[in-house]
Amino acid sequence: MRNILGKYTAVLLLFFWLGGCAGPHPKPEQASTPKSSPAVIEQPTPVELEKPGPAQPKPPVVRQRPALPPAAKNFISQARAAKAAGNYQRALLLLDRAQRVAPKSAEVYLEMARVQKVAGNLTQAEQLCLKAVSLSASDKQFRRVANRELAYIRNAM
Amino acid sequence: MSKPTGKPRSSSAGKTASSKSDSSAKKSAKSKPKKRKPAKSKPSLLRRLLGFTLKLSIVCAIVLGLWTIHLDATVRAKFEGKRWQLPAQVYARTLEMFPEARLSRTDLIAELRQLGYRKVSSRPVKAATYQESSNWVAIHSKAFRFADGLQQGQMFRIEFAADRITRIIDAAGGELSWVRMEPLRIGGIYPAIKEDRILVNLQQVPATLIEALIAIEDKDFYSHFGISLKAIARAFVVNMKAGRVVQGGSTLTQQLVKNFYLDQRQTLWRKANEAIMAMLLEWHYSKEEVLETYLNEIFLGQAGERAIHGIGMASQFYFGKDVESLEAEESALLVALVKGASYYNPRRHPARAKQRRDLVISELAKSNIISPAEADRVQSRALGLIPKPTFSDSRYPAFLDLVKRQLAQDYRQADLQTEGLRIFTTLDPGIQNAAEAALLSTINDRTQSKANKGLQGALISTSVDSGEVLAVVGGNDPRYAGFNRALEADRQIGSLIKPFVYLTALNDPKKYTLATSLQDEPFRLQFENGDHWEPQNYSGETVGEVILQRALSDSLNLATARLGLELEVANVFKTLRRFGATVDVPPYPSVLLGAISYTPLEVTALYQNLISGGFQVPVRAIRAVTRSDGELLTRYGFETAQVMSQEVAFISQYALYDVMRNGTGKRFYQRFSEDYFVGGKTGTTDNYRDSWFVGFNGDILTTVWMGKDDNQPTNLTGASGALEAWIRLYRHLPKVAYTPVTPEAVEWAWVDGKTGELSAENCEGAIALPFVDGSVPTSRSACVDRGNYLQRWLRRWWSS
Repeated sequence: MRNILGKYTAVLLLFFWLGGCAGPHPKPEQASTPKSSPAVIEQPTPVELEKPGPAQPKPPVVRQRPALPPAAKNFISQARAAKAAGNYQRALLLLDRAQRVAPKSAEVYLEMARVQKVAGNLTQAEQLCLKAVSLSASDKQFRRVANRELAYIRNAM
Repeated sequence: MSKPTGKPRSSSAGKTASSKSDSSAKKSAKSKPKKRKPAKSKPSLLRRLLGFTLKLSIVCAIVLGLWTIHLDATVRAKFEGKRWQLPAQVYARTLEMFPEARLSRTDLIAELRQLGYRKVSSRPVKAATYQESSNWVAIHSKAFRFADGLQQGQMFRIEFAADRITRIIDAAGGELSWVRMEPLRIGGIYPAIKEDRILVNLQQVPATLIEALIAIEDKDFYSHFGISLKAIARAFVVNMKAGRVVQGGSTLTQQLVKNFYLDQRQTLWRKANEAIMAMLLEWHYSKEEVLETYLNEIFLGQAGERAIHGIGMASQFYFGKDVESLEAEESALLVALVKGASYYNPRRHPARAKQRRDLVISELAKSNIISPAEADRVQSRALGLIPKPTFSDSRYPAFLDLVKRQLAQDYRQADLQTEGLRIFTTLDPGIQNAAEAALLSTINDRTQSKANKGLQGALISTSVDSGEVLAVVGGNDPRYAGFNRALEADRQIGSLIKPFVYLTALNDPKKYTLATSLQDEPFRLQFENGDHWEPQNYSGETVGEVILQRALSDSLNLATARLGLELEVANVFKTLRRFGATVDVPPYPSVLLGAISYTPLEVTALYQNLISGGFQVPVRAIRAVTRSDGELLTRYGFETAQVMSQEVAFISQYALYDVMRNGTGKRFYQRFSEDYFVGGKTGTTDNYRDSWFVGFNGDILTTVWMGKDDNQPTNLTGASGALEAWIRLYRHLPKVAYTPVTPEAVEWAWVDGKTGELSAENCEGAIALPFVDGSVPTSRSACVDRGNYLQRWLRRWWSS
């Protein structure tokens, strides 16, 4: 036991000492995704990007979800009004339009899930909620909201 | 007006008949005693003749009365029932415009022209006009009833910069967040008798058109009771003078009766029926109803097998616009055609049509409807026709096939042909036209080689996120509504199956990652029945040890077959089924290399699900169906279901990037810049019978197939045939890179491109790959395992 503890202590000390010159491993995530070199790609709104390396272009790593364009916001607010009036088909038609404007926006899918929930299509509501969660990227607050909605839907199932 | 005129006529006729019957009854009563006693003298001949005539008149009156009752029932039954069999109208997608949307000024103007908008040099104050400048287009849109409600026409200005919309300004100078154009009508679903019409109501029809019609065809329309004795007399005099029939005495009501209820024979019997029915029609219905029905019924042209009826459809057919937007000279031309749409066919006989049109305009001036100066001005204008629409049922028959197939799940054919339904589809005319051009030009180029004689092709484009079908090309003659290869050509898919073999593996991230080492070595399988299977790579060479990522990029048969056998074919089938495919072949190992047949549509559905972030997205061609009055019947909206984890989906999609970057699709980057990220997979079958490519950018997924209908070999691989057509199409599409959101539980690591061992950015041959958290390789390459003696000793000591 004393031997093992000694081994740990020795190793810890040595690694602290050698840390600065230990070479390119063992944290490839940090080494390969330098946040200091963002690139700009075509997105509805600018998003923060990381590129894994300089050797050859790799698909940009998108960790942030895109912001909602005003047109999509407009459709979502109209859809909410239609939902409140009990016109679920109209609400969904408007959200289909929002999706065409902002197909990668998690909000659109969450809103679709909410309409499907009140319309009684709980299976579809659950799947749309999962889609919203999958597009939430690094937005933890949005993911919490979407997961809460998912829990409500699953409770109702 | 007709009712007061008609009623007394009918009732007085009734009285006459009744009084005659009374007197006859009295006579008959008086004659009874005479029968008992022998007659002293015979009645005179005159008296007998009178008696016979009287009896005959009674019989005729009864027959006429009964016949009139029958005609009355006929008139009312058709007028009050469904007047026409209305084919369903099929519309393309709606062009939505909003700031930041990718849309070039040129593409917008092309759309406006297709919609029949007229370019003007000043502010577009009239609906269906536009004004253009170098960086903006001002539009006055038309009112249109969309699936989500009526939208009034409005005036707005779209401003552009570098093929993007920057701002939308309304007439008052305020900024708008969105506007949309009405969709282009792309076809109809017709009954056996192909009468095509778009119903209009009187309020939609320009006053000039109605006034011209009445001035030319029936001056007394508002004062007669269905027939016009004055018009008949006038025609009689004119015809007598001319010595031949030059003028008819028919009223609009009679013309309507003739077209609506009767045949075209010129017999006295038909003319008599026509007159009675015209009076009955006016007895029961108002002038406005008669006129509106006339305007919807009248025959105004022929388009192949389709007869163009009514001014609503004629406006579209000749001028590409709604009836509300007709100019005076256009209204006059339509009125001119009433006399004989074939004889005055403006496309075939423009001079004759113009002469007749100008006559109508002169008549308008004579009747003081327009001033002589205005008449001169209007007469100086050209006919203003659009090119004759070349479609039979649709300009895009292959797409319409898909629409009909999807509609058949919810609607009866009879309802589609007769109820005037409005079908809002997903077709993007711009992408469809570009897709046709790309596929046809590639087929033409490739058929220069003898080996490719008889080459055919098919193409389907869908929206990556929504699964909406944007374009369908069914063969090398896109206007021909025949064998639709996009939907019906069941062909072996070759290497297009490989991503699903690899996906089956990647779905177990503890065992398989993109860096897993595979063996690309020959092998031979011996079956119990004596058959054997000995696959080979396309190149005929073997690679040996190769990582999973590279095996997919280079489409290596031996490595894939070995991996598939390790996974078991049945499990690969499970993956295919999970992604929506029907699998009805036994689990032969050859299926692992694509010995399984699917149509281009089925392949598109498979790949649609593969690139949708782990969610199944059904491919659909319809957005909504409404009644003719706009009431929503069915919404075909976005639906989804998760079929695999988001992380595995992301990694599988990444593998398809590398196909384009380093593998069989790399010719793409000979023509596009390196920062344009796209993914895809080539497919080639034995003896080059099929050339496939499925690829996607950030917006659009497209499947291309090329081959021969008789399944004979070509000299095309997936890369040299289908990929070439795909590249030609994507040259015309907005260059939207595919950059999905990286899931949180995915990390990137540098690995050795040959061995898959953990490497580092600066090591030779290192590549960055995505891994599900916790699945990054643990064994290190020599490059990583470097350092001073103390470091290496410590590592060895620690791992001992």
